[in-house]
Amino acid sequence: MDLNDLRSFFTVAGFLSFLSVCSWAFATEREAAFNEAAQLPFTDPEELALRRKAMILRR
Amino acid sequence: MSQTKATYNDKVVRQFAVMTVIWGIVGMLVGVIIAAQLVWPELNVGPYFHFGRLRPLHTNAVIFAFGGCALFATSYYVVQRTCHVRLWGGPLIPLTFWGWQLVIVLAATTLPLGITSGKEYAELEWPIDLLITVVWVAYAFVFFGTVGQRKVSHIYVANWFYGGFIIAVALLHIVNSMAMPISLTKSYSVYAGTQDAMIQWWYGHNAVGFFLTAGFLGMMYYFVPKQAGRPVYSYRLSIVHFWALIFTYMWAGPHHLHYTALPDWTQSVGMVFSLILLAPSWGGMINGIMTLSGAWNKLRTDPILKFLITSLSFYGMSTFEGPMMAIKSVNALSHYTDWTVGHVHSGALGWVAMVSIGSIYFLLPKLFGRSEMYNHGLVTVHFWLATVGTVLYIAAMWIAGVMQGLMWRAVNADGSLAYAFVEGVKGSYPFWAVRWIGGLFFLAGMLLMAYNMFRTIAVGKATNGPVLAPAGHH
Repeated sequence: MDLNDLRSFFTVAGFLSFLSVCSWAFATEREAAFNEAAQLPFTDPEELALRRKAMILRR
Repeated sequence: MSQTKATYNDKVVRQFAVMTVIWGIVGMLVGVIIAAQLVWPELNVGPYFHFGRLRPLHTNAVIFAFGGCALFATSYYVVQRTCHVRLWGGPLIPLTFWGWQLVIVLAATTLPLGITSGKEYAELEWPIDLLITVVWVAYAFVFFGTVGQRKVSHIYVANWFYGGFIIAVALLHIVNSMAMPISLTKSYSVYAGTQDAMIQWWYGHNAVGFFLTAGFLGMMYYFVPKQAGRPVYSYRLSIVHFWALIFTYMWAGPHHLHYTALPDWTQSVGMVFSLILLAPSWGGMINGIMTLSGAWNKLRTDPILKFLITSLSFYGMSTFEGPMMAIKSVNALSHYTDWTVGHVHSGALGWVAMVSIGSIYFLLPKLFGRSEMYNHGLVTVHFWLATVGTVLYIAAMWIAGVMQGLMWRAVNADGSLAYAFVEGVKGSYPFWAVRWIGGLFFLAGMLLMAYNMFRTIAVGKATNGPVLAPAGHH
């Protein structure tokens, strides 16, 4: 096997790893977990406490 | 649990946030001075305040002092909020603040004195390099220690970008700074010739890719959703964005060495990977901008969102321009001209500075117990000053750069050069003056920011946010 085969293999392996990242990220079974993760900036306890305080003050 | 333990550690965030503004002014002032020196050469008062010594001071101050403090401040703020836990690390935390400030002061002292290792964006001599390593390792311990203590299962995507930035910068700094000291103030790189150049630009381009991009994308993934009041457009795209960006950036460095002694195939690899980079860069930009879809009206009234979304537009522009400039035939025209300087500032002023300024405006009232900045209107004024300044700067540099490139390559029928170098300099003068004015606009905006910040601090009082049990977790 010559060195160029290794180089080709590396390129193909790189592309396949990209495809596997995509398929991992877009798999339907992970949708719920990602939606939950996307909410993390808003479930911050400090933020929730401020929101509760604002609601109480308005009433 | 004592009261202090029950709150987030915002002291260090406050320290870094305030210093972001101060170092921003210092770094940009030096930038305005060296821009003026190019227009009025009499301003080169040597040897300490000559262009050649102030230019690395400008780049170090804006990248590592201004940008660095913004990254420390926001990463410490974001990692605590998204991990629902207080910053971990005890004495390591103040070490990162005071250590980083010491690095900046040492840089500001040694560079005008002419103490430099001569590597662009890595000019600091070996004792300062060692100090940077200590501070950076402490930073990594604090950041990953906090992530390790998190009370939620998921690591939010902003922390992936901050984490990638911290690890990559450690790797780049240590490899590129390998040097043999011959005295306290002088060392020589352990690499030689072409290898040294390749290592330097592997470092240099990844300083752009990781220090000036990945970390600031971490900012984008937290502060854009936060300010827009809606989660990121596509969390899945953000994951693909992260891995694609990390894997691709590492290979793009050779485009800084087109048509040099670097082997031709290496130049081609650098060019191809730079072109591929367009995809993850634009994926990330679209992800950030589309986060605002359905809430576009907020852009009309909210100056912080204006900063954040405009920064993403400049990010998109400069990450389109960059791959184009990495094409060898385009690079033959653009390299060594002011086009490169314009491209860098499209990224540095338009993207890095604007996203930092927007994020710091978000942070300041919260850190000092106010609902908003002391003067809301001044933030809008700052936004327009920054935007006009950036556009003036990059438009002037485009024109000057393309003109220089065309003049340098123009030949007469007999093959001799059509223009002497100095004719290009003469033609560039008016554009260098416009660049200086653009810089003044940008600096003026930062001065307004400092005024607004100190008034906000004077009115508000420092508060530490509570850490409560995360909602919906068991």
